[in-house]
Amino acid sequence: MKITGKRSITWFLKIAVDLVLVINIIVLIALPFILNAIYNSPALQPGQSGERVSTLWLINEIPDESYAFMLIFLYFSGICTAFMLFSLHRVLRNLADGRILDHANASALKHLSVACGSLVSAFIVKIIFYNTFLTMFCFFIFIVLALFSLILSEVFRQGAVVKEENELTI
Amino acid sequence: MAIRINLDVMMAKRKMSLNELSEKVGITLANLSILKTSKAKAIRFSTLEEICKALDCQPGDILEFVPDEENGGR
Repeated sequence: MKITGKRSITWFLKIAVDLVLVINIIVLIALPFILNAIYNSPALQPGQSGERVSTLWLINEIPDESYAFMLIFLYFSGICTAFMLFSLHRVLRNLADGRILDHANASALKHLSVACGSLVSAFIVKIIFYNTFLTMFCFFIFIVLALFSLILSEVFRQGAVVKEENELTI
Repeated sequence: MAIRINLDVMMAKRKMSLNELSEKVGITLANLSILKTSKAKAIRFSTLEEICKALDCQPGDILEFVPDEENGGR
């Protein structure tokens, strides 16, 4: 199976990313309802210790005053992930169209890195106020992803410069 | 651009069209046009050799160094 071009792995991955992006937007729209459902879930009602424990590792303790924080945090991270997925969609679309060493890819990967960086900053705030194992795990994952996409964007930029120079060598 | 391409001057002297030169040199019209309009970033020795052969001239007849001030700072 082909890696890039039409009907390739890249093309199928682009469809998967598009699907996740649509789900991301739907979840963003329905976020207050979803969060309400989570807060009212019987599994999260106070136990013997009087604390509600999330089985989703979303938050260890969910006092009612954390609702506003979680809503803002999830909205911000949802917008960041939507932006990340859109940047990824742009890169995969270009690769599927055969535009590989292109400045547009370098720019999209830089945007992806910025979105990951923003997400990392949101996770830092969450670690300070409502830390969990999953939050720290995501924090490190997104740091690696932000730095990796920044490096990859530079690789694509240098590749595009070399390609341009090669094309303009007669 | 400090290097000026005088390909059109030599072509006019030899009364050769772009199509004819493209056929003789063996490069596409698009690439020849890039070269003629000084958009090219580099030229291979092999291409220069073929152009010199086709136009019966020296590389210096095609390429000219122009100091930036004289070039209007372009």
